[in-house]
Amino acid sequence: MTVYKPEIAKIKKVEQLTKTERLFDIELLSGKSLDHQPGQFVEVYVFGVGEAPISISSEPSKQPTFQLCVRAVGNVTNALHNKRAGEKIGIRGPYGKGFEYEYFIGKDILFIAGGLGLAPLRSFIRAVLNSRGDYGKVYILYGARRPQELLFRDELKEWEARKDVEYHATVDVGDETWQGNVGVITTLFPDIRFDPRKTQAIIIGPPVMYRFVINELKNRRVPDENIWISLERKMKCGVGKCGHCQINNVYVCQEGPVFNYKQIKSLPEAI
Amino acid sequence: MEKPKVAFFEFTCCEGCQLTVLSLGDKLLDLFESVDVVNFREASSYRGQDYEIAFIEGSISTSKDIDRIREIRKKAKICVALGSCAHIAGVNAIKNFHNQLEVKKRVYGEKAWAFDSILAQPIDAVIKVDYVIPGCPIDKKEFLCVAASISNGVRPFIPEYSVCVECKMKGNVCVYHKPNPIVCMGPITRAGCGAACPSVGNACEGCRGLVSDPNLEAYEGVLEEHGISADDKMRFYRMYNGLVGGVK
Amino acid sequence: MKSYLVSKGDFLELIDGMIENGKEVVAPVKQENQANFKRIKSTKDILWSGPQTVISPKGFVFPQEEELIEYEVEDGIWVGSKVEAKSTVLLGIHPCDINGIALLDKVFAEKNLDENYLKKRESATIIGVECLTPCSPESFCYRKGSVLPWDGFDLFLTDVGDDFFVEVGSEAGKTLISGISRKTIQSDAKKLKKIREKRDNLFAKKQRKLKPKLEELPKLLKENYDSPIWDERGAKCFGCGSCNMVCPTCYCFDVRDCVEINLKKGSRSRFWDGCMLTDFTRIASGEIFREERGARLRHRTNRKDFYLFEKWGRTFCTGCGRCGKACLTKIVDPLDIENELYGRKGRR
Repeated sequence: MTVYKPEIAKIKKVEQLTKTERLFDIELLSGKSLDHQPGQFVEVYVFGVGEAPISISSEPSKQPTFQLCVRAVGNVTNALHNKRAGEKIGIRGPYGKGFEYEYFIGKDILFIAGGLGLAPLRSFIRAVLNSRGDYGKVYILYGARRPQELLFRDELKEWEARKDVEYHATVDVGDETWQGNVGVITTLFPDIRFDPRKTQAIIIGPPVMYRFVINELKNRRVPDENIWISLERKMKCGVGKCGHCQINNVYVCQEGPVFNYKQIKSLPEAI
Repeated sequence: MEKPKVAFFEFTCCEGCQLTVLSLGDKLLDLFESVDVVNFREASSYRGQDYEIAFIEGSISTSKDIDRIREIRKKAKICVALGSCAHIAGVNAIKNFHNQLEVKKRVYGEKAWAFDSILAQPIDAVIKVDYVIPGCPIDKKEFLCVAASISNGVRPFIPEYSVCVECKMKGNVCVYHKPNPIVCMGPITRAGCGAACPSVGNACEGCRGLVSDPNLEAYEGVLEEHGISADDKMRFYRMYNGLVGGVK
Repeated sequence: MKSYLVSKGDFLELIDGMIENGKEVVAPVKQENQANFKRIKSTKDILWSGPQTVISPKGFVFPQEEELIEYEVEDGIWVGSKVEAKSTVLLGIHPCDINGIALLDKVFAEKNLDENYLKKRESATIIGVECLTPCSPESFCYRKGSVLPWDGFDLFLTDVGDDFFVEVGSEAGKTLISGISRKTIQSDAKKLKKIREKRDNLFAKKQRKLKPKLEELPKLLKENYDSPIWDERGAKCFGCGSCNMVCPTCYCFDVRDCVEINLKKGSRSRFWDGCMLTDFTRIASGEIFREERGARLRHRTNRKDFYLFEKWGRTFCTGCGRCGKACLTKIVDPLDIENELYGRKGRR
């Protein structure tokens, strides 16, 4: 047996979310549940092509099916987009450290997602909304480049409609269909009131976004230990051996991809 | 699944890369079973005009070549440069650095004016090239991997690292460390050949082209340290890489 | 563990007997003006002391290219693990390389066990030999506390004249020599001590000095994270990865697929990779996280004497000196870098 051998899984359903992103419902042939934390990832194997680390988009569950939201950007993800329901792929994981969501119980939560960052963040958002009573105030800020690039649009509508969630979205470039905010994600901040001491801010987005958003949070006096981010790196093995994901002395696949800002702010290679 | 239709074409070259394909042995049978070869003059007189994947060997060196390769590009879904001549113009481009009239005379004699000959170019100077299989000649194993990747719809893996990686993996004594060091282009040349030349005591001549970010300044420092004159340095680059960007 | 005396003749006869019985024995042999590890046909082929092998023997437990899994796709999918090993004796291994393997043992056995490595490692018998003279002008093992093995050997031989003084590191090692070993007496230990004193003096005189204290290297590198030295040296770096390939403790790897032309069968293999190579940190979208050569050089040096040193309490550079030799522009040698950092600090 080797840690590098994938478990075989079946694609149950494929849904086109945007031009470049698809949502895959996947089930391990063993029938076991993935048993993951929000923020963790799996190594997805397309036979004959290779592996890619993909964050899990569905909430933790005892069900055998889990969801991956995949952007077609490289060999593996392009090949995955060519797969149809019923076809088989390999899965290793879940790997890495996600959000220990018990820690967040009773606290206010500010979710901040940029672009594809919503894919991993959705796992946590859904977990929180499923037991909404366990948490304080919940804010969701979501930014995408264009209206057509917004992911999970049906769910966004639900979140917007909910009275117990404060939801704001923005796009960098609007169009005639878009009536919401136009501008980068930090332009949403003046609209929201939150208690920096009681709020846990959770940010997932492209690397460039972190610096600006963290600056904004620091301006609002959110302490470092209340800020959480998830980092993307090259990951070949997922088990702390191959070395590619290392940021200074930290293996992202082992100690991350979810980090508390206090832990990594001293790492020059992090953001 | 339908077999992909494959064609081989040659421009200015020795056809050694196609011969390499022919000498695949058992694997050649696998290849012929897995793809439908419609045009391969080294192997068959059949000339099919219906193909999806074109493997193109050789440089562009006549004006007729330009029209012909554009026709190929129109028909093929995927064009693959096969070997140094197609990839970087290779040894054909050595002539580009000489007086063209004299070169023509030397080759064709007094009637040189009657021959159609232009500066040698890699094929991507004329058409869009999807993939490259570098080398002079190509490496058998790499050809099979690339061919399999392409029929699988996957971008093939071609190393970005230098020949030194593969040379060290083999435990070769660095040619710069031998009692009589010879100039080797390994540190700036793209790997994938398994350090074929240094492994048999020769220097790397750069047939696979340069790595994507060659440190030419550092390389020239090494050459200088080994007493290589500026002329010899140019001769070295021009063996295969005269047309490669960055080389002065 | 215990120590014994074994006559050289008996020992070589034992090994030759094993070779005759088909056992794979790998040892350093001469290769042009350097050396390489090869399967030997007779103990006569062994190069007992310098010149150094171009690369370390790590490839026998962590091969340059190693299949991890194989698969077949027809109607269904079949996947098989490739956890394989051949019983091998690695003979004449120098302390720098024994220590290198001992460090690989730690990382591959940490948390998620790497069975592919461990299986090969368990199937290898490591018989080390003490270096009594420095193997190359580049080596600095004495400065890295690596003239003797820390761990990770079955037997460790020291030439004490007609005999080898043998330190036993495992039960397997003990069994191997049980037929030919004699007990050591006090005078043998004294003799060994004398040889080692002489060796220490010689190495202290001949090997380049490490100016900072060994245990202070992590601190030195931490303080010099932003030193201009990285970009200065990086400017002369090819990013060729030679230093990574020859290193006894570099263990990063890439994983790639190879599918047969019929697209039905394939395998997934790992290959040695190096943090000095351009695409080492590149992700599918094209972003490279450690782009500058200087930053890559800093990362490599920090892995040896800062990050992994702090994590495991031991330097991950055993002072073999191979990288310093392999580097054509002479920028990568950790001892050189650390001395320069230390010197600049002093001037400030």
